[in-house]
Amino acid sequence: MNAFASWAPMYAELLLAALIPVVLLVDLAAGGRRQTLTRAVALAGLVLVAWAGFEASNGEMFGASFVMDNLARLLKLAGTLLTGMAFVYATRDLKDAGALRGEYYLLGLFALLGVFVTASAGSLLTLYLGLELLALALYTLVALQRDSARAAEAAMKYFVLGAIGSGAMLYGISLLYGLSGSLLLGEIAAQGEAGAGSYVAAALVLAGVAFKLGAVPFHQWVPDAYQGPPLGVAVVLATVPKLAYFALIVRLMVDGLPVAQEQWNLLLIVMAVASLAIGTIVALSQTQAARLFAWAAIAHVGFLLLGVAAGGVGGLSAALFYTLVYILMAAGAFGVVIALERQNASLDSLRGLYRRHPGMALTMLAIMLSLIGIPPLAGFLAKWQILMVLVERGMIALAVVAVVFAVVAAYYYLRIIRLMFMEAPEEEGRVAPGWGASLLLGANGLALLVLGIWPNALLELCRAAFAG
Amino acid sequence: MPDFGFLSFIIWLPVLVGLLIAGLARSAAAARWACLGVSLLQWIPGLMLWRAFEPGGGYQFVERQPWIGQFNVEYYLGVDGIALALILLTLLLTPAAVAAGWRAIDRRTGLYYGALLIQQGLMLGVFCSLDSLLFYVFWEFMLAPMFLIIGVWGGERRIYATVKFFLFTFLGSVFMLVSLVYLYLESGSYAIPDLHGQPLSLPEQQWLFFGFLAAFAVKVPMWPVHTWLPDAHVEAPTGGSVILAAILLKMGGFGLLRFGLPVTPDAAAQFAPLVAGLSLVAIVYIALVALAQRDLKKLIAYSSVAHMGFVTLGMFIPLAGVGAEGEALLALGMGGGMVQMISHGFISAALFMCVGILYDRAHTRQIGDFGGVANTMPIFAVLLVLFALANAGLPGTSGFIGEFLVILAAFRVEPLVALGAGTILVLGAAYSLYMIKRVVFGDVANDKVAALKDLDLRERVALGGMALFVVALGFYPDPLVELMEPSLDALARHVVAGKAGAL
Repeated sequence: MNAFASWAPMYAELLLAALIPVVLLVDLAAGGRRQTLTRAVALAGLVLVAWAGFEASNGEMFGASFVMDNLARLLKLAGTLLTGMAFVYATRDLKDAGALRGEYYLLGLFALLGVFVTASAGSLLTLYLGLELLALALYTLVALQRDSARAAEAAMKYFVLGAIGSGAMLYGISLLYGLSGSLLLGEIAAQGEAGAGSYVAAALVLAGVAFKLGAVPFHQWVPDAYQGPPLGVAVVLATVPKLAYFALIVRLMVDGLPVAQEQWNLLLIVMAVASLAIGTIVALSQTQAARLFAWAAIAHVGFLLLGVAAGGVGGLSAALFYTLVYILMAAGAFGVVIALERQNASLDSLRGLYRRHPGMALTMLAIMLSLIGIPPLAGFLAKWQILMVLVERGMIALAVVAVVFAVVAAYYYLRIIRLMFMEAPEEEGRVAPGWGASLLLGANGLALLVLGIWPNALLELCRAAFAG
Repeated sequence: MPDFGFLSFIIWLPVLVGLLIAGLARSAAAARWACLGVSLLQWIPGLMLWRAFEPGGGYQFVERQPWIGQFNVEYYLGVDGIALALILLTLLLTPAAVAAGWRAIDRRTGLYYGALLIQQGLMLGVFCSLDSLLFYVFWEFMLAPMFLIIGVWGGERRIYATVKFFLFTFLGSVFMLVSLVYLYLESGSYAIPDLHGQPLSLPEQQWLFFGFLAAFAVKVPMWPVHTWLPDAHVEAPTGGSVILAAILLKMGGFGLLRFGLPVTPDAAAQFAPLVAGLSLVAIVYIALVALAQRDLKKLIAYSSVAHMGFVTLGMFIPLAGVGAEGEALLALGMGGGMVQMISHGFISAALFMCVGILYDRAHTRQIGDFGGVANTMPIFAVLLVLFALANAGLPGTSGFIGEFLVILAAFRVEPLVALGAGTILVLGAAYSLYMIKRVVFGDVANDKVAALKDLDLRERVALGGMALFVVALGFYPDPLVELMEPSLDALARHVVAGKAGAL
């Protein structure tokens, strides 16, 4: 009992690691035919993992290499929820694409484990371990549809560019180790002195972070990685990993490299504004749903990086709130497009959705308004908090730039609303997403409204993640 | 009485019923009647508010509780005389907007009437908010139902028009949001009374003022950011046009009175000549543009821009002139602007409804397609002539009072401005009478006109009711003036006192 209790900070990881072979065995026993069973086991397991995430106590393990704190707990719970949602949304699409195999759930769980480890990383080693676990699972997920040339191309691009990104980060990490003589982030932060070495290390690490997040100028892989694989894979790619990358930027840059903060903050602002501008402007001309969401995601990353750049408890908790709300919106948007039963849907498949399925059209309406940042939906509160910290730090010009691009971005979200409500459908017949996905989509849209009207609980959680 | 949340009731009842109608209404008739029923039912609490309101009692019917505790945002409602006048206008005119679409809206009726009711609730929310973030929430959320109303049920170029409407107003509003955020960081509060009391240096005020002006000038709309309005009006269904012209535009004027003038009084005074100049351009130039229109709806849309120019002129021209009587002058100008807003609400709603009536019957809005309508639609002709003349500012109608007060205020400051503004009395008469001549009088122009049927009961009640208000306010504006006067006086005192000196 005592030995068990000493593992308390790691409950969620342990349970998830145990779940993965169980899912594998169930899938084998089911002969790879009945993925419904595999999915059910995976979802039930995720519920247990979430429970373990609640139960796990705050603390450090392995000499502070592994840290469980409020931030990690929030990220893990969100990751578990989003993985489960992605599993429910994705099934139909993967079945249609002929890519629904047990491996999908397995890889999804591995990716989640990578998120967990990254979120709890207290040393450079754990951090890199978690990131690579996540990255390898994602590369494989993108390549899941073996007979699709596009998926293969996307996977290749993603892998090669991803390897370069990881390499840059690893180089930065090794410099950090060389400078400070320690792998522990806490010691690096305490010992480091600003100097040429730490600036180079910060720049290299930041390049790696920017690559993972898909911030300009390291964004080229994003549209292909979203569009190449089936949408069921893209929905994972667009949501869960963002949590790990947020943890990465907080643990490595904010906590680990405070000495070079002034320097990397400037780089961060430049990347954030460039992401906002390029993501928004390129998204204007997209015709494929997945590509549109990809470019829009780049713009959203720009917005949340502004929060990180503003810094402090306020800035970081605003950025965390933004990340959580954003992935909820992205999951819902992909969920609706998947429910339309079109492979690699062009935006035209949304035409006349209100006539074909009013409930789903209203859900998508809520998601789009939230993405634009119209109150009282949660997306507004996310943007509003970022604005507040920017103005608070005296970066009013940045705040103005951000809101102007938010207005430009409204154009492509309005186009989706327009297609759903104001155009005639391309084909008649009701859309039938299946009851699980229907319910979840409704809940997803409603959650954005509820979080927008009663945001206090989530706001407190986000603040508590940084205020200790 | 204050224990019962009257303001919450009038805001959320239409929103909730609207959601129900949009989601559940199976038949068009059910949606229509439910929408009409609720919008009429709203008159009861509206009447009670009016009766219980004490002019000069500050903000009343206050409801206040924390909403987002971390940032000190409150659910804070309350009205003064200015807000209550606009609330009553909204309550009175919503049934007219419902009636306007009674037959014309024949598809997706549930969504339409649901959106209309939600729109009403949100507009009332804007007028009731005493927390600036809550104000912003209602203000922005309002774009969504209007976007749908224009885009789904509008005319040929509806999508262009509705996207333009959304993006124009959204772009203006985000600057206001930045201003509000800045004010929060300065004062630690989003409550509007706190913002009024917050001392600010002149450079700060200047930036904030332009943030507010961006939002409100688009909404009013002032020249040169008015271009979304003719498009939106022409393409919107009649009910949408009624809401847009009668109430939505008034939010711009209301916003200036709530934020622009009292929060940044010194900057407002400094830039008053600029705003007054822009207003004058709107009055003269846009009236000339209206003269050249061939489309009835466009003519009325441009005339709306010109008349709203009077509102902003009345609010700002007194600030341009300094003197011992500054307060009284400002109260006069703002009062003129407010009367003009209320009056224009009735007149423009009625005129858009008249155009809608012609369009429903003849399926054209071109002035050239009509002629001699008086022969086939005598009752309609009488009403249209009345509203057109009221629009031109005929004494004895509500249109005269507001314009007269504003010109009076302008004259005290700068007679030349008054002269320029006075041209509306000529130009307004010109485009109104010219339109009347071509549409109403003369011989029956063609078979289409010969086949026109006069008003039915629904149309008679709606237009007749509005005509009653237009004439009644023209002869006896006292109740309206008494309602607003103490609030306007207090506001004028606050604005003239300024706040840069307090630093």
